[in-house]
Amino acid sequence: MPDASYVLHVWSSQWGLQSLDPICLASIMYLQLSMPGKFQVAESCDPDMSPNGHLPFLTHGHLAHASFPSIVSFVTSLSRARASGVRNIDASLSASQRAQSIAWWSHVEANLGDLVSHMFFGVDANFWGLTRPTLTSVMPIPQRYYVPGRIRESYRRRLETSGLWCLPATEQEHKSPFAKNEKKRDDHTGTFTRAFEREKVMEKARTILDLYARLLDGKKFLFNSHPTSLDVCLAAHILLLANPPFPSSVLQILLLEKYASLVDHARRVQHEVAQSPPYELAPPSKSSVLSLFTFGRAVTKEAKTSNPDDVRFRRMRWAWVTLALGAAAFNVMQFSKALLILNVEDEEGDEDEDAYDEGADLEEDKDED
Amino acid sequence: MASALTLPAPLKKAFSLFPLQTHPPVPFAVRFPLVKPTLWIAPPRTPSVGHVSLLSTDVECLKWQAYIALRGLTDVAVRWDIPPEGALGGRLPTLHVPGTVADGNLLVAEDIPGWVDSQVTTGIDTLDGYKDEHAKDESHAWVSLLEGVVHAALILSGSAPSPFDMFIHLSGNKRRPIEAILSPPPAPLTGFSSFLPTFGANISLSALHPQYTEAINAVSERLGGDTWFLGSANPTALDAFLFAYLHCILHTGDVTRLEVARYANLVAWERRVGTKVEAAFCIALREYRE
Repeated sequence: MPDASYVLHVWSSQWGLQSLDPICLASIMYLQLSMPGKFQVAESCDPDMSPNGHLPFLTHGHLAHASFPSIVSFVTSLSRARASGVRNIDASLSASQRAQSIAWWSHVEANLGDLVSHMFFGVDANFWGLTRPTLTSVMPIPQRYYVPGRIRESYRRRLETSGLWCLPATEQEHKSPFAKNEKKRDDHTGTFTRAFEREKVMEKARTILDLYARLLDGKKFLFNSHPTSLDVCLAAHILLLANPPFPSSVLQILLLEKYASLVDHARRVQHEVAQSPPYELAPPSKSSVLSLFTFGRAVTKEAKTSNPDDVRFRRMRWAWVTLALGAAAFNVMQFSKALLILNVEDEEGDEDEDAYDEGADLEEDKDED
Repeated sequence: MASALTLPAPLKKAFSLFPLQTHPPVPFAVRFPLVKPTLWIAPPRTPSVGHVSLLSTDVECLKWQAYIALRGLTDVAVRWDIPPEGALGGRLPTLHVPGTVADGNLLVAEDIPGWVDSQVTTGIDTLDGYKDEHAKDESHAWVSLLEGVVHAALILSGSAPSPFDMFIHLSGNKRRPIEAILSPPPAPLTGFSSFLPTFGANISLSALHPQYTEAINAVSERLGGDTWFLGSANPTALDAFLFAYLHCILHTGDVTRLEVARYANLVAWERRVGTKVEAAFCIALREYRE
């Protein structure tokens, strides 16, 4: 399909970044570096359209590729065709560096990804104060009422296993009338638990961020003098920890103050990406309430071929359905006509109906008859 | 407090009809004193011909078996007659070491490195056996790769338990679910926005296969012809990890096994390390003589 364009479906842009999800942001930045101006971005709020149930996914005609590694491998295969004009930004890596890059990708997605999901979904204050309102503003009714909660639930098991789930809000300032009583009772144990949990999370974050700071080691980019897919992946996660205005921002402050090298690296990647020509926004697909009732969606609904065989097939199919329904209606009418005839002859039937309405005299009438 | 309240006399008389007698503790000798440290593992494979392997079929148990063996310990017994519910924390492996208490001490898997350190006479190594700081950092990346995509592929390639099995063993399974292994976690099978309550996980082996193939390729590339992974002079914890996954994959379903079997260096490495690991263990004989 030479005419079909490459469309990347992502979560919408927020907070000065191209998307509110780290993997979506990484995909956009990667495509801007490897195939600038050759793709469109469709802002979507419906992850169920994707083959694996998550955004981002890249469509090209009938093909769809979901998840960042499969998008990268698809673009790499495109770059091998010389006429496509697509660049492979990992081409300068040696085989050993490429292998290390794959291992580091999975580390970034697992550990930094956990920290990002902890900030967005794990901390109560952030979820209710930032994530949920943002997701609600991009989703239509009725999804906005239950989908953010479901997305949060899907992260629960992973965050619970890593010990990053649902810290009680540390910097909350309740002004509710009951707060004073609660505070007096739970103050000591609550404060200690909160401080201990917070310290555990900070320790974990410090270990992870130290690792990346050592990996970066003052270099401009991780491997070469230009960004690779690993730089893009790392930068996307760091930007989503640094940019959004979190209500409970302890981790963000730690990142901005102590790990300036990582933030600088992320800004450098952003700057490189900004130098590519901007992408077009594809028109957003309409969502219908009826689509909520389907189970297991097909991915591509856009293939409107004007194949004459298909048109004929569609017409014949509708003709068959109409004929079948017509025949069924005709049969029902015939059967109900037969019923009508019986009712006119049998007067007791009418009496029974009246007796049913009256109630008490029913059985006496029946006995007499 | 005790002096302020005294028992009234009639009650005292009533209680004296039922005197409390305390007996001294009865000493009993331990029937089967523990001679060697014993590791409780999930049962190994039982091939129809040939000798019984001592390597567990469960990845977690095999990781710790390999760790103990590669740290240089020998003459450790294994037993596999204890189900996971009987182990400490409801999870295998558990290490039973002869200790100061007559029955010996039970150690959870996380305490095994500490015990091994106490048994091994070499000094403390800040680099944990790796070549340098950079290699040590890189080992974290490889661990997350193995624990992520490779572990998920291994789980998905195993046979799914029937609903009857899941009903019977409802509380027994304390393994990590697939939702906790992958990042980002898989979407529910019913979708986020459908009106049906969420159920299942939208993940399959075919969806993971490209990432799994890339991961195995990367592992093979990085191993190359080295004796130990990441070019370490001596075996490290990462080698134990890698051996456990390779061994389990090579004895499992076809699709995942073929990917690893394509790389001769991985197969040869696994075989070499396997003989070394197996040599460190023996069967806990008491149970099998009876």
